[in-house]
Parts: sequence; C-alpha cells; structure tokens
Amino acid sequence: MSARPRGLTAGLLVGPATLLVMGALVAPLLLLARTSLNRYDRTQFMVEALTPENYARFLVDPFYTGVLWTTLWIALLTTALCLLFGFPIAYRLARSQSRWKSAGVLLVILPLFIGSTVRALGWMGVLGRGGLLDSAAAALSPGSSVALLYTPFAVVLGILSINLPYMVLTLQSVIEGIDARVEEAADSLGADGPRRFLHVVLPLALPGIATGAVLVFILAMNAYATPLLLGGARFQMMAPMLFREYAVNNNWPFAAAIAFILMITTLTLTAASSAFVQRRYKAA
Amino acid sequence: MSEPYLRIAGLTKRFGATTAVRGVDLDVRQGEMVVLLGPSGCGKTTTLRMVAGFIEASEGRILLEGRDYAGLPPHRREMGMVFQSYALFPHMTVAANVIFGLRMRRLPRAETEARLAETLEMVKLTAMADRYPRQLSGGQQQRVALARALAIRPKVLLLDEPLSNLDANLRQQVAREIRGLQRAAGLTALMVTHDQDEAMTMADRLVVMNEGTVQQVGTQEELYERPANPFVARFIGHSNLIAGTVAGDALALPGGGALRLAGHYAPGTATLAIRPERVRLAPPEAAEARATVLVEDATYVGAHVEYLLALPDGTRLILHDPTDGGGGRRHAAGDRAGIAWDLASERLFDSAGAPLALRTPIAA
Repeated sequence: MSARPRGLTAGLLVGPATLLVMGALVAPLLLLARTSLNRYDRTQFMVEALTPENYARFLVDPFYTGVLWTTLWIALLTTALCLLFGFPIAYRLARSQSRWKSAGVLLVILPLFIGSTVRALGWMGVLGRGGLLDSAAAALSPGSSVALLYTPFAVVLGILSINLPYMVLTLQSVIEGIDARVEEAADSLGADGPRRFLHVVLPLALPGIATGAVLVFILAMNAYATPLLLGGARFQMMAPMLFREYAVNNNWPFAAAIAFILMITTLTLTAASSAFVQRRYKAA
Repeated sequence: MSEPYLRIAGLTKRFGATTAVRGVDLDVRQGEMVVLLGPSGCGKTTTLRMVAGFIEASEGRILLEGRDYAGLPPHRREMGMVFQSYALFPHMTVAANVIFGLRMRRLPRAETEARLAETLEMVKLTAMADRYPRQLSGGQQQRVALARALAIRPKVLLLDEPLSNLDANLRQQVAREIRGLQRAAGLTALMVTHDQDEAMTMADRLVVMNEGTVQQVGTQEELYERPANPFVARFIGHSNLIAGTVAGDALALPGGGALRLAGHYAPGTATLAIRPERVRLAPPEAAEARATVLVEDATYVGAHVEYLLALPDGTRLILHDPTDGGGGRRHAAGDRAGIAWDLASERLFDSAGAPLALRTPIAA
C-alpha cells in the first residue's frame, strides 16, 4: 500500500458491488415499475401507457384482495409458529455446552441443503391420498382416511418446515450474545424460569426476534413452490398467482402490478415492525 | 457450641471423571466474611456456585440456619450474588436493576421505593438512578451489582471475584467499601478470589484451596505464621521451600552442605519453609549464622532489597532486607554472606506435607 488516498481505495472496493446492485436490482425494479403502468391487450399483449388501472383492478376485485389476505395470514401464522417452535430449540443450542452442540447446529442447517420443491414433494408423499399418514390411518382403523394435502394446513406445515432453520439460526446467535450470568443474576434475585424469560431473556432477545421474524415473514410472503404443490388448485397465494398472470395469461403489466403490491405490503409491515421493536427496545 | 449459621459439610462435585471439589467442610458464623482463596481451577468458584445453587453438589450438604438447602433452586435461596462480570441487566436502569429482586418478591411500592433510596445511598449512586449500566464506569457498575444483591437483604452475600475486573488503583478502595458495607449490615459473606492481598484485606477468615480440597482454614495470622503445609506456606506470602534431611540440629541439603536449624526435630526427610523477610543477613563467622551463602543478585525495590542467594549446594533462597533510608545494598553479586533467622520463623514439614513438631532438646 503506497500513498494512495484512502477514499480512492474505499471507492475501488465498494464500486463493483454498487454497480452490481444498480444493474441487477435498481434497474429491473424501475423497468418493472414502468411495466406495471402499461396496458394489457388480448391481441397485442402489452401496450405503452401510463395508467393506474392494473393496481385499481387488483384493489377492487375481492378475489385478488382475498389472495393478498390469504398470503398475509399464512405468512403471519408461519412466522408466529416459527418463533414458538424456534425459540426453545435456539435457546437450547445457544446454552448447550455439550460436545453434541455442533451436531445439533448441523441438524438445523441440514434441511437447507434440500430445495423447497423437493421438500414439498416429500410432504406430498406424507400427506397425500395413499401417503404415509393416510395408509397409517387406514391400517389402524379400516375405512378411514386422512386427506391433509391441498389444505392450508399442508401449506403452513410446508412453509414452517422450510423457514424454521432460518429462525433458529438467527435466534441462536442472538441468545449466545446474552451473558448467561445475567440469567443467573435474575435467578439469584428470586426470578423463577417464566419470570426470567419475561423480564430478562425476552427483552434482550427482542432485536434478534425481530430480525428472525422479518426474515421468515419475507420468505413466507414470497413462497412459491410450497403453496403451489401443497395448496392445490383452489388455494391461492401471491407468488404463484403472479407467475400465472405473467407466464400463462401473458399479462405482464398486471403481473408487474401484483409484484409491486406484494413488495410494498411486505416492506410496509417489515418497516412497521422494526420501528415498533426499536421504540420498545429504547423504552424498555 | 451453638450451630454455625452456614455449614458446608463434605461438599463434593464431580464432572464426569474429574473431581472439581472434594469433601469441603466449612462453618461460617453469622456476620462473618469468609474468603475462599486459591489458584485458578482449585474448586473455589465451583464451591461458591454450589452454595448459590447454580451447580448441584454430587455429595455433601449445605445447611443454612440448620436447614438443608439441597435441591433448592437459586431463586428460593435468598442469597445475593455479585458476579465477576457484574451481570447487570443491560436493558434496565440502575434503579430498575436494584429493585429487580424486590419486584420479584412483590414488595409494596412504598417499601420498594424506600429500600431503593436507602440502597443507592449506601453505595453512593443516588444521582445515577436513571442511567443505564453502559453509561457507568466499571467501579460504578460494580456498586450497582452490590446494591442489587444487598437490596434483597440476603441471608448470605456471595461474591465471585468481585474486584478482578477493576483497575488496580480502584481495587483497594472498593475492597474497603465492600468490607465496610458488609460489616455495617452485619451480613454473612462468602467471597472467592485468587488474589492474596484482596483476601487478606477483606476476610475475617480465609480458606485456602488447592486441587479441589481445603488446605487450611484460619485467620490471616494463622495462615501466615502457622501454615499447615508447604502449599499454604508458598501460596500465602511466598515462602522459600528448601528440601533436605533433618539430622541432629541441621538440615542436610541434597547436593551437599547443611543449614543449622533453630529447633530440634525428628530426623528424616523434610522441607523447610522460611519467608524472605524473616531471613536476615549476618557476618558469615557470626554465632547466629545458619549457613554461608553466595550472593547472586541484589535488587533495590523500595521497601526492601531483594537478594537472590545460593545455598552451599546451589539451591536458591530469596531474602528481603528492609531498607531504612540510610543505605541501599549491603552486598553485591559475588559476595559471601551469612544468613540467620529465629526459631519462630522456621517451619518444617515432613515428606507428607504435615508440620514437624519441635522436640525439646534433651537436657545435657
């Protein structure tokens, strides 16, 4: 390193990443925004225009808003379940001093090696007609059947199984950052388990909970393969619907509008929850 | 004699194949400050954590006011703990930290407020009540940790290396503050430290531990003047330990030569323990001289001159010669000198580490 100015070095290091972000993220988004304002025509497909009609069509049609609501509640429910199931696992892993700890972490990471489509197919084998659960039920009490595939339950289960590792890993690193002595201090001062959790662990883990929740919420909002394969034909979520408008109906302007509505909803909720957590964290 | 306030009996902790604490017995009177002292890994912290209830004992009992505390979780023990890292609640103000234990006890609001004011006054932190721990200095955080433990009016105050995260120049002052508060409140306290000076300053009685076992229990004077074994002799005040064989009134050195002893002991293998400040220089030909030594090094360190001496067989011995303002070193490297000491300063241990008794000389 000779007498090169610091600013120049920093610029050279940040430059490629900045160009990549501009080229691969900002430009397509601008293009998408422009597309969403075009008009669709059955014969000509996309016609240059500047119209809000694609957004209006989505917002006044109860079918589309219904899909948005379904997506929202599935995402919120899976996020809540991820927290509920993920926290105890993350806490155990974070506080473990056993030599099996790294094996436990590996076990959490392992499912991430398998794509969501493959795992959805696996769930179909478990939940479907003639699948694992169905045949087990039939064997136990002949004549009965369990058909869980193509239900919201199957979708929630599928998304939960995909998102849980992200939540566990995020929470684990945050809980490891909380001094175990702080919990012992609370213990010696008279706080039993539930009160230690409420007054000490929970407030200190809150930033991590927010990060993990935002992460899995965004993943759930944008889930594609899981709702498509486990939800069945009548179950609609935003990402599969977007793809159908784009690829099957060739309605690029409307697909672009759906993409923006999905993105804005996700961003708004994420920003709102972060602001809430930050306020709470400062006040606490 | 009445039952002690806190009794630890046969306390043992095994982690797998290793035994961290082995049969610790200790009685603590009410209002007494007992300090567990020892090198790292000696089991002192494990012992304290068993008393606090964070670690379950493998064997033995902990009795407080005659009641067996086995199986009682920490939050039901009424023991105030001060941690080495302070372990303050980072998301709570000083005031919220201090009243945490009172909130857990659902104390009435008025009493909580009164105790908060009183406790903050005690540790001189009233002005800091609304600060967060991260806005305080190390010494202030330490006092919050102490206040938080004192606020619950604990049956026993437990201190785990409370001074080791403080600057050296703060330690003495904080040590005296803690001691003052403990005395004023008449609190029974159990403290752990690896620092001998800290232990000497703060304790009513000390417990020296090594390799999981108690080496000696006693006051500062007892440990210093009458160490129970070579380990205590070396750990408290850094004694010279010289191995040899007692024959007549001399200690024969393994490499040849001998030291004249002040007392008479049973013959056999023995270790002489003698403190650097209890050995004095004497002319080699003087009647009191117990050996002639070679001066290898002499360093002026202020309160005394530290001499590194070689005994006839080459064994090293350290001698502290107090300075009196008149002169510095009386000998330089290469000089020959005599050394002397009194009977009261001499302590011999047998090969098993037990003190050798003095034998009254047979009347001639």
